[in-house]
Amino acid sequence: MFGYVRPVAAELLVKEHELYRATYCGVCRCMKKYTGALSNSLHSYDSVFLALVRMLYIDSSAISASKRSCIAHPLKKRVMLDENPALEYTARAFGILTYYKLCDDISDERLTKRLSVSLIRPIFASARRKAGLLPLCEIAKDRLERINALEREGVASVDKSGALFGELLGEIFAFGMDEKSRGVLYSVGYHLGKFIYAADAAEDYDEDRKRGRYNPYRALYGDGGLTDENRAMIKCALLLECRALEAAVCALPFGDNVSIENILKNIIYVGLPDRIAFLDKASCTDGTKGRK
Amino acid sequence: MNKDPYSILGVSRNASDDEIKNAYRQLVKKYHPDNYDGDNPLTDLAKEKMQEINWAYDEIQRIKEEGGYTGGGTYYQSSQGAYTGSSDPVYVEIRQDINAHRFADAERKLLAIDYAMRVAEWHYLMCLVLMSRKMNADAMRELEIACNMDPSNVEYQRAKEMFNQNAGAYGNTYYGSESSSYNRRRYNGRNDANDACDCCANLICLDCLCECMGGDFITCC
Repeated sequence: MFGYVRPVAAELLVKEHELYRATYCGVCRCMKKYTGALSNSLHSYDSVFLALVRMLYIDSSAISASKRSCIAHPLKKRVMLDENPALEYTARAFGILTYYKLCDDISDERLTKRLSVSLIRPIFASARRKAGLLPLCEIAKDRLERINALEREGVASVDKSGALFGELLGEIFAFGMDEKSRGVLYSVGYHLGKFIYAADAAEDYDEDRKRGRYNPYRALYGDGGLTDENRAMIKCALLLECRALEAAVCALPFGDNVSIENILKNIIYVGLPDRIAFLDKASCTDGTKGRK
Repeated sequence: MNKDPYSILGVSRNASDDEIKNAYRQLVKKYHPDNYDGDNPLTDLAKEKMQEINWAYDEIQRIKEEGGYTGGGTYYQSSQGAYTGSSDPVYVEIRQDINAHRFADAERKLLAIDYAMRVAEWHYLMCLVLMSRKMNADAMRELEIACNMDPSNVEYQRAKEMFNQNAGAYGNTYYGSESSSYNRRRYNGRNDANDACDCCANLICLDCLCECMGGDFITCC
């Protein structure tokens, strides 16, 4: 989807990196099972963050791994997590999010994109049916529609639509949890969502400007390109969002799950700041480089 | 508690962040319950003292934060002298609202002001209202407008510095920077004593918060 939420592998222990990859493969397998045979082709690293967070809330005896091969990597067997409730939920929730995101993209003006979206959308339609998380569907639909409305209106603010996206991720993180855990999970999702929205908008600024599409930073700073000062300020706001996220992540109940803790902290302390490195460069045009 | 938090920590009112942190750590070391056996008659006294110290530290942080966010507290008063803009009664009233944390009222009054009449101070006050809602990006945008409209204003400049400091404290990008990435601070505090201390301080803060809500996070204090 976005590919912003990834750790810096160089700073992970090998076993942590292995767990991260195994979780990725585990989510992928679950998507295949629960949201349709091809839905995992749109699977991204972002979902691993949710899977790891939700794994903190299930019994650690339910988490196991085994070596398997898969279609994407037929030659070598990989370590993958076996199915567990956290992975299942992640697969379903991301199926829903991807489906509504695609519905959203279909209103995109470019013909090629519209065609490709209409080709893969039916796969996710079944994903949504199978997913069986109706309240979450309603929330996803509502928030994305409201973001759309704000964008059509050309609102000159990143925080307004960003907050809606944050609410959506917050609900996804907290869905189905008891009252006690909801608060922390919601704020992890909320701040992560706001970060993703703002970072994505900043990265797409140049392209949106060329294509004449809406971008919150276009509405704020005009079409003259971002000055160094503008970029510094966008970065400053993003780092403040990271700080809020840090506070929420540090309140998660890690217990003995040191590996998960290190992966999540790697993501928020070095992974996310690394993803917005494009803001340091003189021009945003090569911004796609750091992306998955 | 209605004592002076500064005198509890034994620092002056204009002590720097580091001085306050140091004083706090020294006192925590001295009175930490782990230093006292269960049957030591001083245990209860130490516990009381710890609570007081924690309260004082939190209180000072709160005062500082408020000074930054809302222009309230001592920060507001000291910057008042430097403030040279209009003393428009509307804005004075809005400032009072913000100081009293009536952000909704403040916003309503701000929005009621006509576009053409929106001076630098309007944007600055809007920034404070947005900050209260953690809408950082929009708040910074308003602050930038305020700074551009009135570049000589000390109050706005100081708020801008505060934003940058807060974000700068978070660290920087990992790759693609001049200095070697391998010499950076470790993100998870595995070998960084400072982070470990911060972590303890955070835990103690969390404990205080839990106690305020009637629960308890660290049972020994």
